[in-house]
Amino acid sequence: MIGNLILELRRGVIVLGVLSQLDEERYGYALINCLKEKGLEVDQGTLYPLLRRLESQGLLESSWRIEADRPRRYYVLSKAGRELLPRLTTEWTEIVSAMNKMLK
Amino acid sequence: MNLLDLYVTEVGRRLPQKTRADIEAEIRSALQDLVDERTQATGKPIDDERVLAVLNEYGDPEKVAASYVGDRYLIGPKLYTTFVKVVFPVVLFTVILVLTGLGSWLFLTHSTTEDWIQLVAQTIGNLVGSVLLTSGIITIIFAILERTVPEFGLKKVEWDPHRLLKLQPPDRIRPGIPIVIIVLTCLAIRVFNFSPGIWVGGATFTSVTEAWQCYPSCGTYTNVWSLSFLSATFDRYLYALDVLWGLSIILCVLLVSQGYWRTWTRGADIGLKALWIGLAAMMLAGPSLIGITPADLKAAGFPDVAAQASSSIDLVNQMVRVMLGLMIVLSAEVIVRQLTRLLRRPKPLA
Repeated sequence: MIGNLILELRRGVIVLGVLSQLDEERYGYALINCLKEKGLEVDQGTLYPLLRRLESQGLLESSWRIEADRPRRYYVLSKAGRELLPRLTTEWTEIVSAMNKMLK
Repeated sequence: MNLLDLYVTEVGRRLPQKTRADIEAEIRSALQDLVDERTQATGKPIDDERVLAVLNEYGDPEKVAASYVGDRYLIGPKLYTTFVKVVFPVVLFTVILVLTGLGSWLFLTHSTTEDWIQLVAQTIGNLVGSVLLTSGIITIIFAILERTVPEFGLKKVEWDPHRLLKLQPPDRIRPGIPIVIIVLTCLAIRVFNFSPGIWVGGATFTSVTEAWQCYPSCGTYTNVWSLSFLSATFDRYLYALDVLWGLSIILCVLLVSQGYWRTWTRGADIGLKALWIGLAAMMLAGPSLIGITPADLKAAGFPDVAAQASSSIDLVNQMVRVMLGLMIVLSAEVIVRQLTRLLRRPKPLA
């Protein structure tokens, strides 16, 4: 039960974390490492379906490229994604501020 | 096919056809990245055990597929494979049943173009209705099971990537070709066993009315003849043909239900093709398979047709021989291809 609550809490955060790191093009594995370096661990089974979902919602764009004889799918924020990110960031800042006050 | 491909295939077969190829490509790319990372970290070439560790880390194919499918689908990855295995033969049987009805009518009657168009349109309507009804009922049953099966507390078998090592087949089977073979084979059995003659005229005798009757309705008809198109030589081969057709259908059904070529199904395919080659060679070397002659047509009351039929019958004879020759060549090609696949070792991982 505790695990589920933590998962639920992280779910929304991951979306914002992913969007925040895709102002430049990255492929899935590079994005996982990038998030990990910044302290947010996301497993592959969560990230890849999330990327597809965000793309289907029009927030990301993707393209396949061949690198070292291997196809890689690169993701980047779409125009809608770039417009949404500042609004989500503001929302997040307000939530954090409010929660900090509540949890003191 | 290496372990990564087998794993990707295991995930892919639980995904809807529409997105399958794209998701498979993405998972393959992600797995390759993980494998590369392990190779660089250890400084050693990757082996099967390390790949299996990566696959174990990536997770149960069923769960991976579920993460892509989400909750929006009526039937999720848990039951999707079983659903396809059930719905597919049932729909196929329905299609064969309806098409056999149409085929029987076409072979047994001789009616106007309008009648044909009417019947074909009616058959298409029946086909769509029957397929929708049967697949709809099965879908509803599976949708209910999808939402109730966990409550029955069925024991879930823990996924172990080592199971991939037991998989021998290097290729996934697309169901299209086996289905076409099944349908055509059923039609062939129907035609050669039950309609070996040419109906000259447009009527048949019905036991219900005990009278000659036209299909669907063409008034009074007289002078009905049935001529044997195939020779007595062909009849001698018919039992062997039926056995081989039956075995072909069984193999195709197994291939569709399993989704993979396995060692024994490849062996069975090789054996079957060898038998086909033997039979085709015997038919090719033996007497003509076409039994109809200009004299038969003349005796049946068609002297004008009989006069021009000789060259046409020769042409049909030649065509049959060419087809038998083609069958031998194509079967031999399949045998070589299957043997190559059987003997080929899995590719080493990069």
